[in-house]
Amino acid sequence: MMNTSEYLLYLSAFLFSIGLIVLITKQNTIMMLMGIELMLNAANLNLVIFNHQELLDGQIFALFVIIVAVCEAAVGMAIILRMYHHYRTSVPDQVSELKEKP
Amino acid sequence: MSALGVLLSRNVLYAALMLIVCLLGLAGIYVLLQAEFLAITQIMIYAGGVLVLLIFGIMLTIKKEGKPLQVGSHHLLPGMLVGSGFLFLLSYSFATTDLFHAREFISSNNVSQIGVGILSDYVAPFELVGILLLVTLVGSMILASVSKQG
Repeated sequence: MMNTSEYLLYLSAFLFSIGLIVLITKQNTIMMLMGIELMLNAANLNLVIFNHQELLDGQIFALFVIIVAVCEAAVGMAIILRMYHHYRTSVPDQVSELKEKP
Repeated sequence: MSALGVLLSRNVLYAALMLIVCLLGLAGIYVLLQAEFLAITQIMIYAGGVLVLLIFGIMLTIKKEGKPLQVGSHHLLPGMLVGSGFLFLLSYSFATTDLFHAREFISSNNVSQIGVGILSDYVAPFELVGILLLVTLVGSMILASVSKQG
């Protein structure tokens, strides 16, 4: 017999795998950021599932994970904008050099 | 779930909208797991903040011709292999272990407990996260601003 938490564990495994596939297969940098967000959300779902009701450690840790994910998304978007301004593309395969050629 | 939409859609903007739907569904699951504060935080920060930032970035990096930004896929076979293999591994480990010994969820008002916990037991990581947010804000502004010497 499976209870609800096990279904949710399968759901979080599914979300993590989808995020991994998106991160590997997509070519655009923004899509890769979305894949990372999906993986972080799967980890958060696991943290909430295994949370003990008296301690609430998992929920507070999930809060910190959300905040760090926001920081990561902001820095990622800043780097993507800078990269687009410099190279006129947001596909990381077309960016092959870090500095201007002398 | 609509996470498949993120995977399957080729237009970046549609993928972002699918991601919003997926995050709202996750917030609903948090409500079902009696993590109301986390659900509200999820809606406000993810669906309100991160996705606006992502859509903003999509609109700034779109091509000049006005056609919607299409995303190609590469490494399709190894990506699918790694993803489905990982899913199979996780599902197998979940199916073979007995993680929950009929633990029932007791309903309680845990928003106030989270508030007290953040300001008493977890005050050091709370302040650290504040410093991290400030550094991230300043750093991303410096990164995104166009400097004079290029």
